This record gives sequence, structure tokens and C-alpha cells, in this order.
Amino acid sequence: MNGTVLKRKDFLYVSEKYAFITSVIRDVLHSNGFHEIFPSSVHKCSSSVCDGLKFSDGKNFYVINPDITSCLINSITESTAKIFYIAEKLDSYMNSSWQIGFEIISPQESSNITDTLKTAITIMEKLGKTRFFIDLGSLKIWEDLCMGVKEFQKEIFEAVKSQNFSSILEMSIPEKTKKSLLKTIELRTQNPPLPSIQEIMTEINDERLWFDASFINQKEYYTDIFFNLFSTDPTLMLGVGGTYKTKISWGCGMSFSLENLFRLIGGDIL
Amino acid sequence: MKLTFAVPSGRLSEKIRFFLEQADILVPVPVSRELSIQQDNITFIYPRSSDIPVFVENGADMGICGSDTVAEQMPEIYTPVFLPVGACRMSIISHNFFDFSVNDMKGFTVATKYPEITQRFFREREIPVKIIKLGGSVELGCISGISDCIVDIVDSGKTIRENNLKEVLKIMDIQSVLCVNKLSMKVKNREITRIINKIKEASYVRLCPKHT
Repeated sequence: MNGTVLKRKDFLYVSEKYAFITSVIRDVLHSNGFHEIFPSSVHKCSSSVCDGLKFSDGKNFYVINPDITSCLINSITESTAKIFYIAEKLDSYMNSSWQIGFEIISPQESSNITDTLKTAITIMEKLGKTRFFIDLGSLKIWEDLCMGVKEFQKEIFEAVKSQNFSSILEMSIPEKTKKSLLKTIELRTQNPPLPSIQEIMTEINDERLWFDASFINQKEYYTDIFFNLFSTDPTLMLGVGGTYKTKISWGCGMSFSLENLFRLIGGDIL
Repeated sequence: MKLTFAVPSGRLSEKIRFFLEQADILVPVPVSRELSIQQDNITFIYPRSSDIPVFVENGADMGICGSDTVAEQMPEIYTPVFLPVGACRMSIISHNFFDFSVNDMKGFTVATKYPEITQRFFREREIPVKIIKLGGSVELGCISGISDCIVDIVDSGKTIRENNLKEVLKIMDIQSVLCVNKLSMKVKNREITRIINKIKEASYVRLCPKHT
């Protein structure tokens, strides 16, 4: 034995910790004008609904506990809203994860992003954690680079997603484009070349914010900017988010993993 | 900074250990039933090849496994380098006496260890098939008659020939691939990039021996 104390992980203990974490986050969200929503667990299967556990009753196909944002995108009819939810998410292997997510819907795309990031930073600080990073990524930077080689865009995106730079070298695209792609992949900076991201970073003015061009959108519905919030000690992905388009407006949202927040601060909760 | 590196146990382990040696990464040989060994700043763990994407997605910093495993599981990981090791292919295989093309396969029963890859292949071609998942000795699917054909890995082709089976169509090429945890790539970028570059260099030398 190396003296490590086994942490309790029974249902009641974990629920108690989750309740503490969600109460802190709820307070932050309520005081910032967010309203809680209670999404349904079962949704009709469609190409726009991501993740979840798919099943059929013999007549129709359904999905249980999918990605909430993917469901909200088609159901929100307001042009402005600030909402949040606590929900269980399932994957196709029935693995469950609890999430607390919040969404800002308004026609002002840029302020949606800054408000989302500021809210996320406040949440982390209220949870007593200041050592974290937020990496921003952009779809547009890659779309612009692929402008002259549209037919290779899918392959280029796949290469960036897997970080397989050698496959870019093997593509039949101009050397100049290859160089620009490879240079961009290595770009992790606090002075991004994109004015839209620079504006966001200047407005938030937080040294924990970085632009990382090497990561590409994780959700189909993200329109341009997306971000990851993570801790380095321990190494944990705590939250993910990004911008999207609703039927009549723009949205930006983020979801925290309760499990990883618990891993990060579980021991600190009395 | 410390790293965890998952190296497959089993069939490919010797070849991969030899390849990594050429990349100046010395993988210790587990004695008896050791499952992990610490060497300098790297903890080597030895899971089954098919579990390596799971380890890398959930916390190990990097690992090596077959590209078939990654294609089947579609984990949230990076695959920055394909290694010139363990090259083989995944194919549709059937009885010697069966004569058909893929377009004739509507309604076929297909046995495989790779239901996701198989499903994707036939769905993309809008050919409805019934898929049966088997854990091993997939050729028995054809031989016993529980399936019309199988989708499996073909290396030398000896097993299928010895069982009076034939390769109908190659679905994909397979080779070993380096997997990297997405967060580790950010947090331990310098250490991981150093290893990636060593492996790339060794892959290049292996592919172009005249440069040695």
C-alpha cells in the first residue's frame, strides 16, 4: 500500500458532492440572469440530435439523454434567452455522465461568447479553483486556409482533427497552402491572428485564455468559435462549448462535466 | 514531466518494441505477469491492443494500436503518426464457391469482430445487411453457415485459404498508429512532440531505407 486513501464513490456520497457543486453553479447562473430549464430525457431520433442512446419501440426511433444543446437548437424560438440545465447524458454504450450547461441566445454573436466565457471563469472561481486554462479554437481559420483547395477541405479537417500532419504533406495541394496549414497547426498563442478572437480575448483580459488553432470543432453544430476549459493538475477536461445558430438567432453555450469537477474539487468539499 | 505510454501486449508487441527501439524509445520487456513498468519519466503499460484507445482516451498520454481498433471505436484521441508496422487489410471474405459483388449483398448476414466499421461500410453504400458480432475465429461464421460472409483482417491470407474461403473485397488498409490523449497534447506538448518526432523520423527511415 502506498498510503493513498481510497476516495468514497458511493451514490449518496457522490450525490452530496454533486449537489454542492451544482448549488454553487446555480447561484452564479441565477445571479447572472439565467433561468433553469428541464429538458425531456427522450427525443425523436433525427440527424440534428447528437449523442444519446438510440432505441426503437418497433415503430419509431428515439434517443435517450442526448446532447442537450443539439436538441435546443431546433426548439428555441426566442431571439434572446439565458438558460441552464442539469442533465444526464448517455452514450451508445449506456455510459452516463452528468452535465451542467448554460446557453446564451441573442443576435449579438460576439457578446454571447464573452458573456459565456466570463460566466465560466466566475463559476470556476466560485468553486475555489483559479488554476485552469481556456483554449479557444476557430473553424473559420481553417475554412479560410482551405479556400483555394475546397476539394481537400474534408481531408484537411480530418488531418487537423487527428493531428496527422504527415497526411497534409502528402496531399496534392500547393506547397504554399501546405506551409500555411502546418504553420497554423502549431499556433498556440495569446495574440491570435483573427480579429474576432483577439477582440474576445482583449475584452475578457484573462491570462488563462489562449488561442489554440490545432483543435477543431468537436460538435457538428458549432459555427465558428469553440472552447475547452481544462485543468493541468490534475489533467482534466472540465468544460466544452462553442457558438451555434438557432432558427432565428445566435447562441453560445458551454457544459461542465460534473464528474470531472468532482474529481477536481471533491476532496476540498467538506 | 511524467508520461504514460500504452504498448500492446500480444501479437504485435515484439514488432512495435523493435520499431520503437529504432526511434530511440526503449520499451522494457515485462517479466512474468508485470502489467506496468516505470522507466525514466515514462510509465509503460501493457494492455490488449483493442483496449489501447480506451486507455488513451481516458488518461494514458499515448499508446500504439492498430488503425482498425481506432476506426472501430472512434475515440476522442489524436492519431498523429501511422507506423510502418503491422500492415494488413480488412476485407469481405466468403466461401470459395460463392460468386458475388458487394452490390449483390442486400439482405446478407455478415459476421465480424468489427460491427461499427462493417455497419458504416454498408450504410454508406445503402446496402442493408444483418451484422452478427463475434469475438474471435470469425472464419467460423462462414464455415458453420451462420453468416453468408465475414468481415475480418487479412494478413498473409493463409487462414482463409486453408479454410476454403476467398477475399471478395478490401474494405480498408490497416497499420499501427500512434494515439495521443487530446489534453496531454496540450499539457505535455513538449515531451509528446519530442516522441512524435522520433517516431516520425524512424517511420521515414523504415519507409526509405536508402536514407539510413
